[in-house]
Amino acid sequence: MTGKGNLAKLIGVLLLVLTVGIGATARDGGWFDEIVLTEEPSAAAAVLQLEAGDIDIYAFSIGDRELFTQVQATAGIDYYMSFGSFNDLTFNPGGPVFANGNLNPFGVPAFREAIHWLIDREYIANEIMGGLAVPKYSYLNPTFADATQYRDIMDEIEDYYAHNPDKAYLVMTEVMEDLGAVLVDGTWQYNGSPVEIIALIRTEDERLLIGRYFAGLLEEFGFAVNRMERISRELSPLWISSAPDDGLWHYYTGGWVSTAISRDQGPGFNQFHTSRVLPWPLFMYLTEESAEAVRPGLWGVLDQLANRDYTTMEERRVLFEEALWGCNQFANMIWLVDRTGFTPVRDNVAVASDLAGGVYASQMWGHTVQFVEDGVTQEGGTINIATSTLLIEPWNPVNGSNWVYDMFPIRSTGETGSAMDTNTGLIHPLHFEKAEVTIKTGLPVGVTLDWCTLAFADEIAVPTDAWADWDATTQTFITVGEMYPDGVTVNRKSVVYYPSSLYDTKLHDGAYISIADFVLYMIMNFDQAKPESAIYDEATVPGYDSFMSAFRGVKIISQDPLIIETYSDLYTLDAELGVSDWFPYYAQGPGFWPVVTLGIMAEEQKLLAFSEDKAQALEIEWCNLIAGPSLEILNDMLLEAFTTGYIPYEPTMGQYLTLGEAVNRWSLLENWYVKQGHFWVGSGPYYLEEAFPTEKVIVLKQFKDYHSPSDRFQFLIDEQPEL
Amino acid sequence: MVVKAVVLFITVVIGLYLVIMIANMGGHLDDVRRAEIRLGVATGVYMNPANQGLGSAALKQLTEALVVVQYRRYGLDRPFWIRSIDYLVTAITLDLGRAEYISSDSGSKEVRRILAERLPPTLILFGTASLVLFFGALAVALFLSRRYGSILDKTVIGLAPLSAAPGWFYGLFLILTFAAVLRVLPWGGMVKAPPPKDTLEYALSMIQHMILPVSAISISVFFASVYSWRTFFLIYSSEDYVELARAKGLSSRALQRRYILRPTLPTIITSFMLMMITTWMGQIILETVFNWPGLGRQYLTAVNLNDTPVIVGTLVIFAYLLAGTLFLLDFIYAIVDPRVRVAGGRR
Amino acid sequence: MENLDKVLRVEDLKLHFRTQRGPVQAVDGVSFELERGLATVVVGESGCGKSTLSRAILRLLPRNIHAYSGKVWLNGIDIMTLGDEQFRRKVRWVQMSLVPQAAMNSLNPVLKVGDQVAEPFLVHGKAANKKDAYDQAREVFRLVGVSTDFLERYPFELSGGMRQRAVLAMALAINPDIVFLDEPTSALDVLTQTNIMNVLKGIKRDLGVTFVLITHDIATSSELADRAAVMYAGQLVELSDAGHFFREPLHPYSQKLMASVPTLREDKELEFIPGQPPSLLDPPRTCRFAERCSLRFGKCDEEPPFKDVGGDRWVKCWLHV
Repeated sequence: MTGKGNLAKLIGVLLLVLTVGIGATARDGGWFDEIVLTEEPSAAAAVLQLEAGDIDIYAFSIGDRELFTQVQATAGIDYYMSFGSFNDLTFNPGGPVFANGNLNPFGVPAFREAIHWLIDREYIANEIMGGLAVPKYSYLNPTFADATQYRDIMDEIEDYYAHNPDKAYLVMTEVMEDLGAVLVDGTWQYNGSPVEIIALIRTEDERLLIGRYFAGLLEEFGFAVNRMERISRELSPLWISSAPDDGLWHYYTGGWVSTAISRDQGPGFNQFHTSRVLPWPLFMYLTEESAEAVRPGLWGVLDQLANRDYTTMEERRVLFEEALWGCNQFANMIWLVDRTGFTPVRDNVAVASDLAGGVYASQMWGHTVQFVEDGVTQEGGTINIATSTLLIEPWNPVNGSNWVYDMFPIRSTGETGSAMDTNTGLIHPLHFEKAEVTIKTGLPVGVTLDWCTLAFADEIAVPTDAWADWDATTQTFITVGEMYPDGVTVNRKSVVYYPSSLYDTKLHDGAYISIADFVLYMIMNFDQAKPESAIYDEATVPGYDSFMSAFRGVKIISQDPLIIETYSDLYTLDAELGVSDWFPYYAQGPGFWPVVTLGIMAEEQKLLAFSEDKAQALEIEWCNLIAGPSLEILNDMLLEAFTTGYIPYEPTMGQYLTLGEAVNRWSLLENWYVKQGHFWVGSGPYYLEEAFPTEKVIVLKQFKDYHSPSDRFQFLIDEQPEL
Repeated sequence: MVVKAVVLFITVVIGLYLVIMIANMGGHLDDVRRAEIRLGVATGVYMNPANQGLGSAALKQLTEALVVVQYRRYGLDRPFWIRSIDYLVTAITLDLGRAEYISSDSGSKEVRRILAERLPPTLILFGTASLVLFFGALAVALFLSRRYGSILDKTVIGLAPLSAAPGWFYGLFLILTFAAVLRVLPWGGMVKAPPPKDTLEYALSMIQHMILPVSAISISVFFASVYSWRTFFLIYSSEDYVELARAKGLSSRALQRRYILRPTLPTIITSFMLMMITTWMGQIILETVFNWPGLGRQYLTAVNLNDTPVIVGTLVIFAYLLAGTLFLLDFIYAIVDPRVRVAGGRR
Repeated sequence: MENLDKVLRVEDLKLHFRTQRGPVQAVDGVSFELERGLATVVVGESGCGKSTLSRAILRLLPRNIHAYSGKVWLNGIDIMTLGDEQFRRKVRWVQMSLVPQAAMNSLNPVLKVGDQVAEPFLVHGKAANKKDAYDQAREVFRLVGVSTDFLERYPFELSGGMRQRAVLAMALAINPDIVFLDEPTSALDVLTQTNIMNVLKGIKRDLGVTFVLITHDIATSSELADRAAVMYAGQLVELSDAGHFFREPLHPYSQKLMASVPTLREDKELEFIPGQPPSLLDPPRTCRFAERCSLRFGKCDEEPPFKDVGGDRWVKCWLHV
């Protein structure tokens, strides 16, 4: 043995020790090598496939009680629960005597209130829903923050409004007699004819049984019930569009869905119990007058909650208590149950499931999904996931498909600047590292997590050189000084700090993130809503108006490391949720500047449109980055951009992008397109390998150059609560 | 001649307009759409976390503005009867137009692309089933006609009532047996996931996925076809010219081919075409049961969504296919039965 | 050592059908001989078994066979012992052919006439190719007096008479020893009937073909016939040369038959035979005609043998035995 041989052996051993010793998290990006998504419209068939092991997750929130029983009884299958949807009885507030002379007892608030006592919510939750629901006495979601902190108030309400048919009958009879109705042989008569209640009962799910149950109760009381059991589109013209006094309906089996955790459910009261939000005839009936007649002061209370017009959490609590009692008394909508949906998975699967959205609406599913054997997370391999449908509409980040089934795979390929905490609804830093939030003194904002610092100030002035709006003609930002010559102050200032490693973050096509990606994102916030813009799209105007009602200014105070200040009147109770990170993730997916620019170029030339509305109006293709006739057009744009070294919105972007950088990005994108055949580029733990639109299959592959270790968000799984 | 063409055209126009009226519930669909848009926008705004911080007035304004945009997008700002003329013109000129709700698999809104993407899978499935059925049933029917009265004959005849149930009915059982319990064949879909890149592998995978749906169609159509064709053959084989041909010393194979099969072919083909037309009706549900990405399933989606351009477009294609089939039939008759050909030519 | 002048010798040929009610003894123990080059007419009323006799010899059997036995020597070989394939290749059409009843439906409607007439040549290897077969087909068409244009036509384009001649041509195509004709003229008009008969006479004279003419039209066939055979209830009851038969039939049934045929010269009163033939399901052990025979006597309770009563005249009747 020579000395050299010994040295080589030593180095070899050292290297071995090093790699082993670094630990199990040497892997970056997704835990799996490959994710295969397929389509399975039938939940029952999907459960069979799960049993057989042909799929590992069925990403859908199932509400079928029989399937639930089956899944519970099957070894090898586990499930995640989510509280996303809830059912109610919506009453026609018109009358009490309709224009056609018919009686509407539900037009009397006291009668509506009595329904609380008439119905047995336990029965609905356990018998009708088979245990996949819990009784509901307010529109608050039982797992969110508000229901938790006001538990005691809710308990009192639940006691008071507990099932009590005798009490109900008492009140209901009194109301009927006051209205001039008479009980003849067990049937209520008004003006000589029987009182008929028109019931709008949805047939697509358990609402059919709920509707029938309530109809039965009314019949027992002495009404004739005309049960209209129909599907949604047959009923919606009646309860949404018809004038209440036309008397086309008395009650409707309503249902709502929420797929995101809300940390402030205060504004919801206005939405469901007043005329302030929904411009529908039946809600327009809920005037201040009608509210005051039932409970003086309620009208103002609900508005205060909606606008966060209070300074302390104690104040809020008082308002909440009044709102909860008051709305139950007003009872234009009576809440019945919160439904739990379950997402069935093989028992070796672990994933961060969202409390409200389950797996299929979870922001972080791609970052966390894994197989676990004997407590150890497996690396590599393939996982098969089925969803109800797949590849329904074109994918583009600006205004593409917003079907939850398209967003599901998209979320594994792209990320916002922050990571949603699927258990609490707060956020954690993902690309940025910390933030500071300054709130105007007197506003009820609090902070929970360390990365966010909260400060208060009496006055927050917006710097005059901050960008307030966009001039589509000159393609430059309009400064605060130009827009508000007298200066302007705001309720909230957010400062976001990105680490210098931001510019080392690789994208799927091998490019590095640059400040140009952020600036284009900012520009796109404004440009499409401007009629002077070459890509003006009127469909974006309402969103823009809404945004501008609170936004006052944004300023990049440092480019490297990147620090961005934002000024706005919009604030939330949690400082963390008031952080504006401006990371280039658009409404429907990741959008880095080269890809978005291709879409812009195509739209300028009226070959493609980002939004369906514009595409339809101009009779051109809806921009699709992953398949179809769009690809050829986008490729043509790419070649044009490549050869000319095109920089979009040059007057502004030119300051953040050199020709050399632009050409480099174009060339990387071109290589990507040649290799992959599509333009979907993100920063997420998986990249889109291929989408098969006809066969309805999506293949995702692990992004090996992902910026973080695979276990970065393991805590989301570890901290999942028991439901 | 001209009169005939004009009459035909008017019939087509009336027919199409009726379809448009029905698909749009005589205009009532507009009310439905309006209500659905309101509901959809309200739900969307409510569910969007980005709107969490907005005040009530801002939410209301946003909701109203979005509803106006959506009304315009679906043409609800124009009265229905004007739009119905639009639909009609688009259909007649074979423009086929753009879909209202549905996107093609590759994301296009053009109806012709939507249909063109879905037509090949349907033709492949249906065509394969037709070929398998035709030649299979023909062979078995010929075989049985020579073994009249045997146990095999009686068994196959006894199974004829199986044709009372449509193909998709058997499809459900087949899936349960072969995919769920025995695990030897796939649940559904056209190819395995992920689809193979190699053309040969792709074709093989498609064939594997076609086994169950083709079998389902076959069970439904096969036995009745065999029954009726074997009876045809029996009847035709007692013809005088068959006996004479046997006396002439023709081999059984030649006898069967020239003296039994050739004369019955027009009848067989007619019977076959009629059977396939009824099978086509069940194709919609069959494709749904097997998750086959074909025209039938697309049609079902369009009907559920009341997507008029797609409905009308599908019907137009179907009408052409039907006309093409009948034309082909005429053509085949002329080849196979000289009485048609010569007598017609003489006219 | 068989006498080859007797082109056909049938011995005790039986063909019984199986029916739901029991076996039908359609051909029951028939024996006779045919001389080469002579035309024999087989007469009898409907259902007597004369058509079935030809089918039995030609082995054109239906599915429901109960019994099929006997010996049939054709050109010295017992063809009943041949296998189906051998029979097909060696006997069918090569040695025996058939012109069936009602040629309306004897031709395949979807094949050209020429194809069908050419078929025998091709099937039995008498032609090298289709063109050769067609040439030979033209020859045989000329033989029967049909324009060769019709080879290119389809059967439905030919009139009844032409079709019959085409079928006849087909039967003669490859020079068989025996041609069976089953009611060849019954569906045709008188003029055509005469024509066909003349053609047959000419062919018999020129080619020496042996004909078996099955008919109930005694009058028309009388010119062609050299010999006459009478069948009754599945059995042969008389067989003799035509001349003697027509002038002086021996069997009581034959006598009745001849009495029912109108003649040109005589002004006779036509008779008919009362009663019906016995059911072939379970024929009587007696003489089968006994029931209807006016000359019946005691012995007729026993079945008479079929015997040569002199001068090659065969009768199945106790009166002559």
